[in-house]
Amino acid sequence: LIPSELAMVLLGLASGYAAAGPAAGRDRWYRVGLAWPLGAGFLALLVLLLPGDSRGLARVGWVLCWLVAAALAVAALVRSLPARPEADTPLPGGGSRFLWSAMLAVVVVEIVVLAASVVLDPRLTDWDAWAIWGMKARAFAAERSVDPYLRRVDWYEFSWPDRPCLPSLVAAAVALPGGEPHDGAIRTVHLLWFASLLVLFQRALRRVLPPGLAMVYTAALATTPNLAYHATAGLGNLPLGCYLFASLDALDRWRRAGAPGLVVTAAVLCGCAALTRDEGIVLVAVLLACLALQWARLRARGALVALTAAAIASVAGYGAWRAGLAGRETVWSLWLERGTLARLGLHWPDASRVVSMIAGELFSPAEQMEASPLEQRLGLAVFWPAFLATTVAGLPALKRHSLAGPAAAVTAVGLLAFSGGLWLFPYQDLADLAQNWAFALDRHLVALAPMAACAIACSHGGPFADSAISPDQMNSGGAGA
Amino acid sequence: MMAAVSAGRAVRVAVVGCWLASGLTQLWQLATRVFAQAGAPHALEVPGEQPERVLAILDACRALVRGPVVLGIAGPGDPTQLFLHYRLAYELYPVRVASESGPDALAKLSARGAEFVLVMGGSDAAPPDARIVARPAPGDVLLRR
Repeated sequence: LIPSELAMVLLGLASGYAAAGPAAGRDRWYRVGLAWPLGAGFLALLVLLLPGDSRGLARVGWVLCWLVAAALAVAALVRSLPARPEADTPLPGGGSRFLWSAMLAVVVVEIVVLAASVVLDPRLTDWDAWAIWGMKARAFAAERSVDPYLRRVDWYEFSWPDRPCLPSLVAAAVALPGGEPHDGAIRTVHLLWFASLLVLFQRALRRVLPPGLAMVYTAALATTPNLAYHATAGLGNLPLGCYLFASLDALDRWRRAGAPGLVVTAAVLCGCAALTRDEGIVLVAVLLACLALQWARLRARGALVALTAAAIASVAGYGAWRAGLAGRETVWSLWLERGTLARLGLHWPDASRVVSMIAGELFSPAEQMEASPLEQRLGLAVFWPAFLATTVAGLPALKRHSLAGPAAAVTAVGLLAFSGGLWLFPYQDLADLAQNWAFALDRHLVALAPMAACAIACSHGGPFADSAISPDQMNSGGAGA
Repeated sequence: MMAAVSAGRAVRVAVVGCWLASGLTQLWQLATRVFAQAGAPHALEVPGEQPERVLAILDACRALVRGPVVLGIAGPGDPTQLFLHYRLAYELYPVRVASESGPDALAKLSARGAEFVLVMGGSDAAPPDARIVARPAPGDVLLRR
């Protein structure tokens, strides 16, 4: 990072840290974990609201009106929420101090090694990273606005102009003073999302697991091969995973602790998720639907209001990008056209081979994402089989768990949706599907990985592993305390 | 009941043990690669069997093509041409890059207002309305109209 880029990163961190105060309360590390995801959202907004020239003013006007209306609606909803005084307390400490320290060391070493990889060779190497995300970042930073790029999208079709692109906006914001985003800066901001995700993940698990176990699962997540690849690759999948998990965690914290600031934070995080990638808004909708079902079972007061606020914010986030692309088809049109249902029947004869292809992608060591040596030796990926085994084994407990239940449900629905997308895709033949599209599963599933990991962790250890614990204990913040 | 709980615990311990073991081997592999490759030439994912040729073309275009102009690429339409289209658009922004293949590629690029044209694997002779400004690799020429 050159000094001007470092200054912008610090500005983002400081603004995010300040904004996270009302939500985080006394949990200082939760506040630290929220600092970059929220600050990055503010930086992205900064670039979205730069008109560049007089022709960009109309778009900025629309975006501003759109966001202010959404903010007012969210504020009105949050004010109507019932106040709940109970505090959310983490489980008491104790257990093996050595285990906790050793696992923390693993997490720190992973981050240090990833940072070293950026320092020693800062350039983006992944095609999608520079041709899609880097391309947009470069255009936004050079023009100091998104409008010139949006006006010339025909020249840049390969960079998927219709996709929302919060990571590119953030990379452009960091490069605003210098005018050109460096590959190393793009990789560094992604590493910040990765580190934030690990902090948030640990703090979330800490509410339901003892310190040592929470850190074991955090270390396992940190070193998951596909996730570690995405930590600095410069793709949007990891930031989306971070925002989705942070949204789920914030909404679950609100249900337990009731601080209104958590709903506002969750709404901002949902908006950021929808602005991160095209599938973001759909995954947010799945997340809110799963939470609605779970909260209905738990009879959570004000649930509908909180979820509506999050939904409004996510639509606002998606709309803030689409405002500049009025009239162009969305990437969803491919699945919304009439021929989609016809393809369901057309592809039926391929069913078994499509399913085995998808299973092969999930269960085989990912070549491009650099599978671990153990996976290569076994000839089997570890993460998704682990999710499958633990969710099947722990289904009764997961169904009652307020954090892991929705996490597992969102992961399962997401897996089915991505697989269904492959099935309904207008592929020429199975070879075309395998070569050009099936490999993308490994990338898309990174957005679901933190929630899948949360489900694995919560169904493994602590009070939730014991069938003797009551649902009330499971769903209170002080379970086992 | 107790046996079922114990079996469940055993499965859980096995799963997290395997997951963490896989992660630790990943960390070792990553650390080894990162520090072993420090200072090695950059490994950009260049398609095709002649990466040096592609890198030479990139160098030539970086040196000669600047500003809000249109750079056309006429070639065989293979992955190397696709790579150059994307990569040049990324590196040379605000240069706009158009890519065409086939016998009428030059005419199409001309219609799109290409001021510079990279002809890949074509003849070494320039068309009458253009002059050669670089020969980055044998058979590849960069023209300026």
